[in-house]
Amino acid sequence: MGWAHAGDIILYDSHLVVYKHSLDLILYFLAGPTENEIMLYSTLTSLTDALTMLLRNSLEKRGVLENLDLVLLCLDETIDDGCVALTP
Amino acid sequence: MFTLVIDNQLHSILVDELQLTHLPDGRIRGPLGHKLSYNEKMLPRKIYFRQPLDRGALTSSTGDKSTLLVLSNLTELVWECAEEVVQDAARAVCRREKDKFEARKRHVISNFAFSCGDVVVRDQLVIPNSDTHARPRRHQHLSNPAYPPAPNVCYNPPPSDMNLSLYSVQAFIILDTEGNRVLAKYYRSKSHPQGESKDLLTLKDQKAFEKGLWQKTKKAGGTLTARTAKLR
Repeated sequence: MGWAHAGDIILYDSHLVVYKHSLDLILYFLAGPTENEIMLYSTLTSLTDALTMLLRNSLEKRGVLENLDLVLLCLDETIDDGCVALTP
Repeated sequence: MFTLVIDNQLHSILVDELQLTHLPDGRIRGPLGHKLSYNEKMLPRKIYFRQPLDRGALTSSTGDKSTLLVLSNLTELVWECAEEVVQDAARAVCRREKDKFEARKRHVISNFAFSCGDVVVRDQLVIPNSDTHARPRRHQHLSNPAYPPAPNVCYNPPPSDMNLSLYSVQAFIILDTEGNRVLAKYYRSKSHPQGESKDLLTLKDQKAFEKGLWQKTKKAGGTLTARTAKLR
């Protein structure tokens, strides 16, 4: 289970926020307060896994900035204009 | 058993006031646990009360005027007695209702335990089985009129602000350890059923939001992690 460790889902400023720490980065998903947090967290997990694979096992600031095209492509494949395109 | 012998007038009063019903066999039964009986001449009549009355039996011979007068004076006593009957009946009703309520409560609890395991949503209550381990049958209450069907369960409708579309994600943000923006993509779809969201439109708003969010979610030893990451 990807969401085995809790505490990465908060309600901030009437937004549902799921986030993940990765080396020197924090990745966030924002959604409405009534959204399904398990689905969102699962999406974030899969996106993080994909980015980690793309950046050769080091999802850090320098890698993201150097491969911003890949990261954005990966994000667009995961989230299509706000719709979750694919979840595991 | 206390017996009260009354005349026709008092009898008719009692029949009216106590809402007695005439049974097919000629007897009269009241709702309050007492019985009335009378002879062929319909005079005099008797009321049998379940509770004995220490004042003794009241008797009137026939329905003549003098007796009627006496009896109308005695009406108070009769009503006192009737009050006792009413109170007794009320207590009995209360007891019965309480038993019924307790039985229903027990049943709801047991039925809830049964429905927890399966997905079936019961819209009606079922009487508890004597065998508590057996599954309660759905329409068992039809065989026992003492348990009327419970009203249908009312389900809460989804809240009005619930997003029923697939446009679920509002933004994807990557921040670094100092809270600076590395990547941020805010989704504001025109085809969203609830219209475009009005918040976090300007860069200033977004930056302020991200700063607050970072303050809330940053790691305690974040800077140390950053340095080790840079060293690699």
